[in-house]
Amino acid sequence: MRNLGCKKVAACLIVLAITMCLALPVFAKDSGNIEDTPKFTNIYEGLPDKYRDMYEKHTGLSVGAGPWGTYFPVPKLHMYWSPEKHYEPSNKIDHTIFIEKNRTELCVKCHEGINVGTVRDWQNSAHFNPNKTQFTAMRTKQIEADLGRKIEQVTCFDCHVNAEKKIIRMPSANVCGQCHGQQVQELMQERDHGRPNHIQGWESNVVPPWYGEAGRRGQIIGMVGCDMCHAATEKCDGCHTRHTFSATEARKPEACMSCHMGPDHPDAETYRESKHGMIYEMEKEHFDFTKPLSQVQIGKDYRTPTCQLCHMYQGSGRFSHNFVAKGIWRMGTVPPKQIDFQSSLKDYPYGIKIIPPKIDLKSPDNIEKRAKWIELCSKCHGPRFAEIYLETLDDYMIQAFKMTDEAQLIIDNLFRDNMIYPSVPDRDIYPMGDHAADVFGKELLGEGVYNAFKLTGGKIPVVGPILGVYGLFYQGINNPSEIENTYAKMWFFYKNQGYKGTAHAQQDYSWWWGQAPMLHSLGSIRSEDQRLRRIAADEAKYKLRSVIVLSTLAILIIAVVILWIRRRKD
Amino acid sequence: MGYNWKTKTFIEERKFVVLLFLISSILGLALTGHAEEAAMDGKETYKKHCAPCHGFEGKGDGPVAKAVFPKPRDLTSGSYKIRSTPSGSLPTDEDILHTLKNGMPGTSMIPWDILGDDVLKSLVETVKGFAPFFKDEKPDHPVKIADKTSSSPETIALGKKVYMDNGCWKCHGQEGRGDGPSSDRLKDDSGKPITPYDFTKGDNLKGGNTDVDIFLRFTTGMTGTPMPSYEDTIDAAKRWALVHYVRTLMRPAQK
Repeated sequence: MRNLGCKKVAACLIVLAITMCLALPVFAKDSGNIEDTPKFTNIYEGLPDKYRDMYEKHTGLSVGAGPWGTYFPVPKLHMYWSPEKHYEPSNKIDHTIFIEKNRTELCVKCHEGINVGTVRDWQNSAHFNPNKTQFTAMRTKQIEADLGRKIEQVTCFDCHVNAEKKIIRMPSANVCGQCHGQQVQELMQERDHGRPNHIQGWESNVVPPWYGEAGRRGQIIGMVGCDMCHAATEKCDGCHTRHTFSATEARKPEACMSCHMGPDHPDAETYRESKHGMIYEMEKEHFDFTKPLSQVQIGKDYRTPTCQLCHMYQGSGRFSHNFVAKGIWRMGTVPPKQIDFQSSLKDYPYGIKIIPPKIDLKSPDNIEKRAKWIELCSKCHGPRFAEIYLETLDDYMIQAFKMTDEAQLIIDNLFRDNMIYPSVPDRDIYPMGDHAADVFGKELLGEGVYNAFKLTGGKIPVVGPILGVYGLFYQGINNPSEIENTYAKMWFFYKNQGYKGTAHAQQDYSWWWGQAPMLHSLGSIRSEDQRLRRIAADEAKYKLRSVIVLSTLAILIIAVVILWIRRRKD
Repeated sequence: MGYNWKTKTFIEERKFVVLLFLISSILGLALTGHAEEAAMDGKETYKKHCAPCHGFEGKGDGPVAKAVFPKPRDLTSGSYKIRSTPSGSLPTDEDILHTLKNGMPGTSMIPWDILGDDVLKSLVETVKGFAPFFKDEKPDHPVKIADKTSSSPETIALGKKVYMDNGCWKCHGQEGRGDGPSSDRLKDDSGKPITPYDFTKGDNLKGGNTDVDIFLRFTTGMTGTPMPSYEDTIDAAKRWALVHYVRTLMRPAQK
């Protein structure tokens, strides 16, 4: 019996061993299910040379970024907003000796007497102590494995020295990406969704013709307010501020608020004053921001959503530095396909390739995005409520766009009837309208718009999304006129305010800063239409009367002359 | 053309000499290069590395000076904080060299040991050249460093009494935090605001952190600043007691 038992045990062991051997390839296959992360090289990698020339190729302060780069002296601050293209090391002090002798500790000694805050921030950062916490130690280990070297400390030289050229550099996302490649690559994926996004923020800043026009008119410095936020392309410190570069800090809603506020995108205001924002304000000290978003237990670590929790969520528990992947209405400026527009909006985007096409709310892509939102909202709300709420947002936007359609039709007709005052021939050209055709070409503008610019030199009316927003950035002589300014504010400011108020559940914004001023603007536009038409009609009447009076007078004079000649003959 | 038979014969006959000449020339060139680097003119070094803060004429008004606090020294004044010589005297060359080599912790004056001893020595002359006093006067002999007493509860208590009786607390504060009643009204000889040292920040003293360094500051004072010399008013034993007391106020510098 004992023998038999031993045999059975031996047989079992053999079977187990064979099973394990067979299973090994299965385990190996399982490890292959981890998503690959391609090695990061450069944030501009894969883009056409022409694009890289405009945004990446170093020109110092001699040539600006973008298509209008030669029309203005480069503002010096661009060295910091777009360092890859513009940064020049200081000529006040030569740092070569410290680089050559590899004495990075001297940076700290000297800068303690200048940028004491910088030094202190760095000393409190994970860069100073890459093994500060268990989590950072694990991340550091991973980075060490990727780089193939040990990281004791991330020093000033690591980020601020171009080792090849032995010069000081201003770090860009390319530098951050050497260690944090995955995060930068996630951000780069925003390009796949089109603008607006962070990775093309600088492009969105300098491409619009009003940027070039401000430069041509010597007003480029006025654009500094735009520059500071639109510099998000190359700068990770927009969210992970210098020199702590803290992920914990960047997970807080306040990290977004310095840019995402104001009349065109009042995200901060609408979130902060919403119930979500209020709960955050009341309970934020209980939020655990040290946890990566993927590990946050909703309801326990966060009692209410943050900007990051919603906008970085990619569905199925995943988070990414791609903030726009779930965006359906995006910034609220692009018209939807689902409206049968009566105005020239029906032809949007007019063949122009540098502005986004109409939004198709029913596209498979947008349906998938909607599902991800519902999954996310349902963590705290009923799925049906979430779905209805999102449908309500759609309805709000649809009716808002219909109102803009009515306003745009009024203005279209005024231009058609030549009743806009001052008329197109009597006003300044569209910003950079005399160069737009040559700078963008047929390929980007489309044949119709290209020819219009080419033939008129920019003396053409442009209203509505998106290029019609120029009035908020440029005021030429008589261009745009009052009614066009009112319309620009209506569709760009008030519609977006209502959109954000509704999307972020801030009721006061939805009505008083959205729907109400939209109605008011539409009323003003209707009145202005009546006024312009009345003036035009009065002018026409006056002209007719003048013709009649003058003709009668002429006839009378001729009659008198004929009579006088006859009498004289007699 | 230049390599004719006569030259050929000359070279062939003196192969060894020529070889020796070539080797010595190469070595000579290399060594000259090094020597040139080492003995780089003090003025050039000053212009490149010092002038950004201290100014091209040594007036403490270089292009970077506006960003720096504490402000860089006006080298034309001839007044030096960190000396081994009595109050009112010029510093010795060694004093200047000490500051150049060790820097002034807590300020943007880094230790310039990176330049090497030869360059630093030539720099001492350049730095002195900005103040005419060095032409007319000689520095006094370094002050005598009296025998050090040992640190004990008694000497520390004595040091505390000295600290309070002599008004050190008025600037440096009762607990050495640099927050005494006069601390926010102090200025240097040029009228620029200046702050007293906060001992609780740790061992980051501008003139060095050894006991002797601290003793010297009490003894010689820090010329150009409100920190006077106590050589004549506090005897050496009490100055050492003060050193021991001040040490109790200091914590290691935060890293």
